[in-house]
Amino acid sequence: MSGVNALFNLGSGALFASQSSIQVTGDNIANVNTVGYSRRNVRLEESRSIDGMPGQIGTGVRAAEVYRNFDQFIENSYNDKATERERWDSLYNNLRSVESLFNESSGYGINSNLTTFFNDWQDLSQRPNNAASRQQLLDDSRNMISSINGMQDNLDRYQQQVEDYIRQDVAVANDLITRIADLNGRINVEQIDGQNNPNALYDERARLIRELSEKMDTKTIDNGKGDMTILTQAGQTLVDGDKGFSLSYDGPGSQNNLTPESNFDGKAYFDGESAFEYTLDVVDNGMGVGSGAGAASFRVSLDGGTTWLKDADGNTRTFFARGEDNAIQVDDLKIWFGETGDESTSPVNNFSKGDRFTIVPKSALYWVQTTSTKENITPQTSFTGQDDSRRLTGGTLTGLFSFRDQHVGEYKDRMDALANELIWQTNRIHSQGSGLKAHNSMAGTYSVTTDDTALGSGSSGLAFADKLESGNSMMYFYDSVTGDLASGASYGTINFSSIVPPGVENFDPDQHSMNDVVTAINDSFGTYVNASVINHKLQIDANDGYEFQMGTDTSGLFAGLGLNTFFEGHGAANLSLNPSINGDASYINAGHVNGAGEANAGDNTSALSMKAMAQANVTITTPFDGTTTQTLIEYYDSTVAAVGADTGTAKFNFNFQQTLATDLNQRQQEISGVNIDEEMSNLIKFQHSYTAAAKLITTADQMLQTILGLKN
Amino acid sequence: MRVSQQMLFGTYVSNMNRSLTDLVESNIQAQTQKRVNKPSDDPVGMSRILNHRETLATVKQYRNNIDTAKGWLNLSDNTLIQSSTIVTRAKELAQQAASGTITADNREQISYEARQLFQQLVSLANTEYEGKSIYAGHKVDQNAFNQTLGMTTNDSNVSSQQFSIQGNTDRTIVVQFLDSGDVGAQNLDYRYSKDGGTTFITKTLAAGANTLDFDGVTMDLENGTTVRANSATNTNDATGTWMWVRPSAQYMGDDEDAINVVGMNTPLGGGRTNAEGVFSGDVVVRIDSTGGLQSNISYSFSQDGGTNWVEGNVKAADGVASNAVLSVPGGVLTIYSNAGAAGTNILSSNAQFIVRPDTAAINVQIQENEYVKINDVGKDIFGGVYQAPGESNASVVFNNNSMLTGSNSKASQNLLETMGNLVAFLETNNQSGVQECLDSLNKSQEHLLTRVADVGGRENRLAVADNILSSLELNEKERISHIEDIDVGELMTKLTQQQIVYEAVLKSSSMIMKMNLLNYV
Repeated sequence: MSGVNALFNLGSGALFASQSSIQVTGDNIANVNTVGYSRRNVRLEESRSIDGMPGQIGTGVRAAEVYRNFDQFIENSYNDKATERERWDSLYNNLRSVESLFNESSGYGINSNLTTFFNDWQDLSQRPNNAASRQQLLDDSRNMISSINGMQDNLDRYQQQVEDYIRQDVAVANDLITRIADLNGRINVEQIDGQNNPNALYDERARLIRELSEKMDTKTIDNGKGDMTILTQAGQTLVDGDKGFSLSYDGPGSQNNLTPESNFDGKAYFDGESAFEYTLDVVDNGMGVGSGAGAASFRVSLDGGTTWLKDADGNTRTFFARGEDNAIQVDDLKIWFGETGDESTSPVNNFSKGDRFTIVPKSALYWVQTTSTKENITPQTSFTGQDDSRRLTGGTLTGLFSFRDQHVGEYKDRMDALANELIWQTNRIHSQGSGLKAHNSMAGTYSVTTDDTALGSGSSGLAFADKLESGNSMMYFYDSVTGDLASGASYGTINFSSIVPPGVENFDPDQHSMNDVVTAINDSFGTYVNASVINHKLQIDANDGYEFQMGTDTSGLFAGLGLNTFFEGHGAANLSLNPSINGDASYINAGHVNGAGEANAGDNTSALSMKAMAQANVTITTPFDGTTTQTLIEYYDSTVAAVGADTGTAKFNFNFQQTLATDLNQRQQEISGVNIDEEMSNLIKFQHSYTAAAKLITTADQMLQTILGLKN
Repeated sequence: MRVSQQMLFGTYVSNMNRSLTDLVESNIQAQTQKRVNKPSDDPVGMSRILNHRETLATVKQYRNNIDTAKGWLNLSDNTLIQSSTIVTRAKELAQQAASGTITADNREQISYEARQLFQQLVSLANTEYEGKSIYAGHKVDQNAFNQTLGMTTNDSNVSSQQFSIQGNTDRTIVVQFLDSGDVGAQNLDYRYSKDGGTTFITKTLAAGANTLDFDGVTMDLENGTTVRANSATNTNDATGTWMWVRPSAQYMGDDEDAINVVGMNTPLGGGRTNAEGVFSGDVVVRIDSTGGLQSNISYSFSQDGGTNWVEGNVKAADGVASNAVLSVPGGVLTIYSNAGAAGTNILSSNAQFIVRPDTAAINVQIQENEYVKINDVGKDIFGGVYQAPGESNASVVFNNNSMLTGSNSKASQNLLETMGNLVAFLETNNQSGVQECLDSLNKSQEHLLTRVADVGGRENRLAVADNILSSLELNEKERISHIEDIDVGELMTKLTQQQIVYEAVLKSSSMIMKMNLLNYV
């Protein structure tokens, strides 16, 4: 049988167990508001029993270990939802700022600018030679231009701002990854199973994983203790036990994805900026880089290969693989192929069909596998609305990237498409009209890359190259003193028949270059004017004693070269007035040269055409919307609706994901949260047991005293 | 379920926020009285609002256009009515003067008023609105008519030849030839009177010369013009060659008569083209297939300089190799073969023809796709003489009738020329001439009244369009309000509801927050 001493041991064990419990309860109470703290309990265990008389007697209690109440399964579900919540939250918050740019509920904005612009042409049609009407049109045009420029500037600024956020988030994510890996190491050192649990470290790790999930989507594989692997949903490893990987945010670049049998030896180069990644897919087998029709051609996708660029008729567009000198314009980029390491030398070997090149013309997020291998994990959404599952799909990083690329990038492209079409349509009418004065000289506003490339080819560098058509363009020449036609025959179409091949009178965009236009003008009208190329732009100067006007132009040559135009530029950011109009409102073309070769002050034909144009449907093709047919103003209205709908969707998704995440967080809280009432009752409970244990020792002491007293 | 302290307080805060957000949103709606305050409130609604706003602004613009058009056309209406009144007065004068009971002196007295009436007519024809001539076509920045000198003769040999008059006179000059013969071929005696035939001055037109000199006014006759002699004592204009140099007016504005065609890229080369019809602007025709003029020709046309093409038009094969007639908006374009060279009735694909009509109409838009002409071509109303662009000589508008008197005379609808003749015959005491003018005056007035009706018709169109637009304007405003504005009754109910919810959240939260085990131990 055990002695009284055993009772002491039993009492002190009980005392210690209660004290531990009180300590842990106190810890719980103290951390009631600590984020990420999970409620802890002491696991009490009955001490070993000793065999003896009368049979087995227990030796009391043992405080075995402190454990935390935590449900890893709920935690994983929570992280899944939280990452979605953060994605939509960051998107929603940023879109709200953009939405305010497009908010015209008060009645002022680009819609009213455009309406005013076109109505001013109507005012001008009432009084074509009235200086005040012309000035009004000029002022309102400037106003509209500054609104459209300003919109693009603001969108740019939002993109830059978001790039800063991305950079910060990447730094935070990298820091989190390192810290989680460190924690895994420490957990492995400190954990002694069933005895010593580094609960604070586990809590800290769970908290860090929560933070990481808010930045990007994660998936955890827990093999116990510090052997935890964290991956992105797409499978890129971020933390493997105590080893961490890193992310990098790098500038633009291009990558080859060649077919196994391909021996192409070059690289895709580009110039320009875009919010979209360009995937080039070679469609010809066994052809190489060249300048003629024998070059390989490729198709282009702006959403990672889901949809391919199409023309207005819905046919997939193909582009020739060119060298640097005649780089081809594809949407916003100029693309050419060169040797790896030397962009100006064309590669020798041929392509194979299916060779792909990915051009990332923007800063993008990469997962650094090794110091030499990086994988692009920039979130990407196809134009059909599907997330690319090989990339990031959650967290603030996805929200920010999708804001920068899929949203603001798209709005910018839409504004560009709007401005582009506005410029073209306006200039097309204006370039065929006449103002109050004939011209002594005229400077084209659009330049080509090389003066001897056919104007209509993708390599010409002309902003509106693809709008040019085969046709002819009329010019009229006047005596500068009398203002009458210089002679009965001093007008006509620019005759290209002296340019062989093709030796036809019409202008042909696939054949005729800037130099050919100059030759044709000089051959046709050398008596009256002299055409030349200045800075790759066309310049027409009247000879002494003559002036000139432009007439009907079926080819779009005048508008394409920026002659006699209203606007210059080709996008929302560079939209501006033609300098000659900006300087002299009498060059605004309200009328036209009539059948008698006269340009009269009361003629309002061109001014009327402007409003008719505003009311007619135009076809606008963008990579993401395909081809739409509506009026210019309706196109802008639909952009406003798109921004509104995107914001609304982001808000809805945020609210929805937040509700789910909040619910899961509550369920985790149900398990791991601290309830003061509960802790209070525990405290009282353990206090009582402590008192009882102390009583046990007192009793044992008295018993011992009694025994020791027997001797006296 | 376990409830932790963080859950409890987290729930209070999030519920409080949610109901407060709803409350604030309704509050904004109440303050702006608008349901759509930002695009995401109702993306489609927002774009519809913008669309309607644009329509509304455009409707207002149309009404503004109509206002201007009314200004022009009302003025034109009044001007033409006044002109008609003047013609009526001129007819009265002519009737008086045509009667044989009136003396030469009486005719002279009447002639002063007639000359005034003529000048008034010219100045009415030069009427301006906001500084723009309303009868000068597109040449609004100059007078529609310039007063000039014209000539009436009794000799159709003379009227069919060219002549020019320089100088100025405020009285009609009557000229009589005293010799017969051809101008330039021989010496020809002539005499002229600047005081209505009371006194004459005799001069000789030498051989080789063709300029008659009337002391301050000179008149060039075309070489070879045959004139007939009359005795110096015979003032009967039935015989010999007589000329009256009298006031007339030249139209300075532009016309819409001629239609030019320019052709490109066709083997027809010198082949002729001709367009007929009423074209409101340039029309471009593009041939889409290579083929002969006699076969199927498919072609496209564009009315906006080639921006938009109407494709798929076909002229069916008709076996006629000499020409092809293509119908285009406004009329037809006839392409003739080039009879001179070989293979000359072939059109090549992508050949283009630009039909370039003379234009003079100032149109303003009064509704979508509806335009009203607010000006007129003065010569088509008032007549006068006109030198078309590219022509070397002026000619009398409508026809030559007003240049002939006597046995060859025919009535003319050329108002200004008729008035010029009336002045001439009154000033030269020519009773029969005045009588001839009566017919012409009637005809001219008839013509004038037709044009008044035309202007009135256009004014009616304005009134109708304005009516339609004003109801459209109202309708658009109503549409916008319907989409944009909040239903106040509904909003107020909602606000009250949300207020109750918010208060309830506050109350229940504060109740639970007070409860704590510590209160009891």
